[in-house]
Amino acid sequence: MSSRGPQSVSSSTDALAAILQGRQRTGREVVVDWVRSRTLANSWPALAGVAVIALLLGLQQLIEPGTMRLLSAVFMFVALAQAWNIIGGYTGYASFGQVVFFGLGAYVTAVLMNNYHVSFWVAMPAAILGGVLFAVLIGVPLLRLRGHYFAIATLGAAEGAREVINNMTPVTGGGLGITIPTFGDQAPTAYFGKPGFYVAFLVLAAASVAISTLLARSRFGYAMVAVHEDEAAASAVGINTTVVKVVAFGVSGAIVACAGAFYAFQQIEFYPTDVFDPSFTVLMVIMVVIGGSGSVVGPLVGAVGLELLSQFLRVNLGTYNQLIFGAIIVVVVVFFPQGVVNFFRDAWMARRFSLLDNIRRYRL
Amino acid sequence: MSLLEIRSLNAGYGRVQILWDVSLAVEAEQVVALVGANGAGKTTLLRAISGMIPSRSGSITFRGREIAGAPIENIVDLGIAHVPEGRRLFSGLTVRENLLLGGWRSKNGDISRVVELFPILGSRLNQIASTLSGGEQQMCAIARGLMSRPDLLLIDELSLGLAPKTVDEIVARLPDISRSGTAVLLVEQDIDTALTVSTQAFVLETGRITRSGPSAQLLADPTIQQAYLGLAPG
Repeated sequence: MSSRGPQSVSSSTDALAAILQGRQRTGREVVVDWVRSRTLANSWPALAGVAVIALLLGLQQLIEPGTMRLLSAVFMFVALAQAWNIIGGYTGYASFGQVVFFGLGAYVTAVLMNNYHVSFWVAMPAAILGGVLFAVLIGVPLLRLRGHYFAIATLGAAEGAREVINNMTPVTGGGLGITIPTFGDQAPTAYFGKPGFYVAFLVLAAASVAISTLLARSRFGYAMVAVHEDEAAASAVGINTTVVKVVAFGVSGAIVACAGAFYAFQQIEFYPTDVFDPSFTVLMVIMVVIGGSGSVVGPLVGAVGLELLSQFLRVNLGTYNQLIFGAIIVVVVVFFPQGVVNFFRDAWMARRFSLLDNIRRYRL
Repeated sequence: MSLLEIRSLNAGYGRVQILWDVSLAVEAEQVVALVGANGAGKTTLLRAISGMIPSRSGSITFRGREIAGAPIENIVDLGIAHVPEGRRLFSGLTVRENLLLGGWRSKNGDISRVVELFPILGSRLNQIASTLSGGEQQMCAIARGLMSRPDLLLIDELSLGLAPKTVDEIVARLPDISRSGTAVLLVEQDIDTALTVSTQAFVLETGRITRSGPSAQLLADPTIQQAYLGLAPG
């Protein structure tokens, strides 16, 4: 056990304490404190993020449209994985119906643009708002359930929502699908094209990573972790667990709905079964779990790694790509049950890199 | 006026009523014991006070304000902290994070006072809570409760799973806590310990308060000795 002097104890407590206290400060104080608190050591993740975005924007000039499309999908899954991690990772409520927000976002956007000729830049915020409202609507009753019951209920909500959209034929086109006008005078907003969607999904991914980071480091973030750790204890210390859960669900739903809005515009034409496809949810869960839940880097690594792998296998293996993809997932989960990022972080801290130990530790 | 005053409280879970017409008072800056056998309703009473379960009828007033039916976080704001049975630490978080979460609601980030009370926690601040010994976990749970700077601390089953020596060590801090302005309502099965540390005590039997009075008096009472301390009559 490390014995620490009182000096080091108080200094390392201050930062965390300040976050948890959420002290009332003026805007000027916040800015000044923030600038003063910047050092190379605590700024490097932000700097690295900016560098990666700049690099990806530069890369865009070098690659073909087909590759842009592939990377757009990677960016979208980064956003989806970050969103799932907020409710499933940090807050500990594993939703198996998160695709419902994707589908709703897509349909709100398409219906507004097709039926009412509304600009995408109005339809997309409306989709986000719709996602938040729906999250509150189903979150208040469903977040009273835990574990498997919550998983099943959210799965049911997503399946149910798809059927509702499917049967609202006069508005949504039902099973015949819906088309967003993109040509000539009929187009409410000019189509972005592959380069445009590359930038759009990159911004979405960057925004989702930024939101997750800020949330994780906030006073609210600690409340989410407390709910995950022990909900009864969290409420005993005076955390309104219902509010925490519903807000986390709402933020997650907002990001997913936003992704759905961009996806809808990118696809132009789609069907309820496309945007309410449960495999979106499954991919979100797998990416977060394999990357490492409850951190910002984990879902990022999981989404980038798995989406690139999946695309690589699809191009190179043909018929058997799904089989191999599934087998790789099984092997990774067996070797890294706590997630790849969490394994390497723990291994680095303990200076022990043994996969066998890892398997033994988790009794697999 | 007492700090906490409960009058004719009835409460329970679902259709099962546990507490029947319970009346009890805790004075400021005192250690008060609530003792009784397994299943007597001690935990239920604490949960009713801190708002974790609703009460059916009767009143709970704290510093003169009715708190029956109030949301838990408002009760925390008013100055009641609950140290639940079995500690219920945030087991994957560090001791420091546990303490700071205790001050989450009141935005209190000053852990020096509770570290002074339990110095061992000071050397464990960066340790994950689940790796603490049982006694340290109980200290951490009590310290977490104190982080909201409450006027009343409810401690449920302090001695659960702890060595007698460890229990004595922690119990010895309770008078310090009460003297510094936080009254303690201690629920204990170990009646000898509870009656020794407290000034007032209430005996709960099958959901009803059957005896109450100064702790020393109850400790000397032959019927209490016989029923709870296993001493032979005479």
